[in-house]
Amino acid sequence: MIKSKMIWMGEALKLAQQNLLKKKNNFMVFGQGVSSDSYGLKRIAPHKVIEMPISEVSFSGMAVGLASQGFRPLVHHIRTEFSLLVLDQILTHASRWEFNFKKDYICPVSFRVGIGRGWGNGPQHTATYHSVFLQSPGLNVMIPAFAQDAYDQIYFLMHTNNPSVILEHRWMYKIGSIFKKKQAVKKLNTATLIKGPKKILLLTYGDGLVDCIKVKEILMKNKLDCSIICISFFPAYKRFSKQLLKEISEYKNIYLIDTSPYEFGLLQGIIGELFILSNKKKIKLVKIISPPFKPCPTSAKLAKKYYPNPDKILNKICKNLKIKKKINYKKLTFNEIHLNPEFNISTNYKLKRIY
Amino acid sequence: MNKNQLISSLKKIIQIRAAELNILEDFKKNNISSFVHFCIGQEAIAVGVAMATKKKDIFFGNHRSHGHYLAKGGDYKKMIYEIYGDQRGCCNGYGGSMHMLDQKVNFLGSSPILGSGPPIASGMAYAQLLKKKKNISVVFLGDGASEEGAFFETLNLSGLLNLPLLFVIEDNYYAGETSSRFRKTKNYNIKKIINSGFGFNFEKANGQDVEDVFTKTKILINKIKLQSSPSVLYCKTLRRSAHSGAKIDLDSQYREFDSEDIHLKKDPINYILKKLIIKKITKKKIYSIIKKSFFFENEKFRKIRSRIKIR
Repeated sequence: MIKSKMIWMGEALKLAQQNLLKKKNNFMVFGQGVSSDSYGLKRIAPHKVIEMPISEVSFSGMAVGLASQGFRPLVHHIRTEFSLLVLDQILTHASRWEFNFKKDYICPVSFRVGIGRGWGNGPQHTATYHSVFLQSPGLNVMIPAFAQDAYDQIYFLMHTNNPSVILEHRWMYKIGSIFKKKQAVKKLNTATLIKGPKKILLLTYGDGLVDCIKVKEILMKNKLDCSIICISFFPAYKRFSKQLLKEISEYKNIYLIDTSPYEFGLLQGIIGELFILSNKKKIKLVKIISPPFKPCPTSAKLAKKYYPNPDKILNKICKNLKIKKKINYKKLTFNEIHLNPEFNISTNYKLKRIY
Repeated sequence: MNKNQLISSLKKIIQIRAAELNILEDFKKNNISSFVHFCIGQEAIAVGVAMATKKKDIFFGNHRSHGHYLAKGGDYKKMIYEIYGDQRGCCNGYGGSMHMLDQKVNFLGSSPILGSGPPIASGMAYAQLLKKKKNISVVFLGDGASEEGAFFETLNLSGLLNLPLLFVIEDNYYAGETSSRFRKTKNYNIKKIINSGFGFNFEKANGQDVEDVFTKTKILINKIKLQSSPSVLYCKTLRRSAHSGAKIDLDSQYREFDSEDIHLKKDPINYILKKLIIKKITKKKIYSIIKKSFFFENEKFRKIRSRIKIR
């Protein structure tokens, strides 16, 4: 029997790639810095892990060509901003390859794209363009937060006939969660529910999960609780999962914890669809906690105010739900606000996979 | 090229020319559901390169690829169907004129985004190398696309990986409607960039002369195979039609080197005609071949056209 264990999301990504490099002849890894020891891939399969020049367009386009000929290349872009140089290849070519040409002429190229907040990264290294990729039909979009999701998503690249973009919130690399090794993944969950009472739902994705978990822990210590839904996968030709929308609609108070500016973002899309489907009847309250519609500043003092944090979320919950009871919690330290978090998600939580 | 090869190239050029002229006429009547870039006047490059390569060699085209596709032996019917949006087309009518595909003859696609073809073709060439196949890959790009950063990045990467890749630059003087003198510095020298800058093999060919293109392609293919490095074939050519659409716009203001006389004089068919005369074939016989070929191609087009179901 395969045992489950606690590992970081970053480790799960690495482990999945290492396994595939060993087992799959057509799996390859490209990018800048991929041969470094920290990636831990080059020694596994030196001929399939290829260091590239600073030529994002050409090596990403080369991966598109390779994918059309039976290979399954995974291209690394350590920042979203670098991947923007390659939008032509990702959006205009890979995502509509089988549409332009033929259904049986596939292009299963994939891209790992580092995204979101990071200490001192400032306005040109922290952009969150999830919507850019989500607006492109034909492209699988994955946003891992749990270790299992990260591992499964990399494995799924071997199964899907569509190109994929994995938007990795760098903030999440050292977040540990329960994980079980698998030999193949043919279906991905679109979200994970951390169960709690039906009164309050924190709806999030990517690094928003960190703040939601902290809020849940604080609420539980104060004999209150909430549920969390963390969205992680959008299939190539279907952005809205019926099961996910049904699950969300069961909550009356929904808090959108968005670490990207909310306007025209991922969560706005989900909640918009929900409103249309539910005819505005069921949902009592939707509140948004997200950065302002501005880029993230570089300085620590300014960045502190930018992202959602447990303080902001709890204040909003207490105010809206008129919770008079004083909620006790420790104020966040400088490191907790600014540096990459490192903790394990409790194994006591009941998780439900939503498809 | 021997006599038979010249006659074959003449027939292939006529096949492409006739197809283009027939489509052009229908385009004028608003019967085409596709955005079209015609290659009238540039056919000799596609035919010369195709005749110098083998069936197993890979072609990847651009926005103006009807000629590349037909020269490679792509399915004629499927191309016509595709341009009209018929689901029997080479891309089931979804791609249109700018998306040519026939995997049976290794025409593996075309991209209308200028400069995007070379990186993709380099991946196709790399795939062949990894599969230990001995074929080469060919990518066609215009001179405008050869000014894109993606082209230069791909040259470097192809050299790093020793890819068996031939870049064919078709220089028709204009990028859209912008003449080369407005786009390039005074001392811009593509030969120096390729030869001295990257250390790759470079050949310049007269793109109107199918034999010259054929010969230079052969030279470069031998070098690609011997030296395991990419090469560039640079062809000067003349675009008779407008950048896109059905207009023959030789008198347009942006044109600088064109006139009806020049285009007729340098027409690829005329080059072959002169060569065949030197090879002792009578003018009468050549005109008979030309006439019969055009008739055959026009009839073929007409039959296919009558069966098209536009969606």
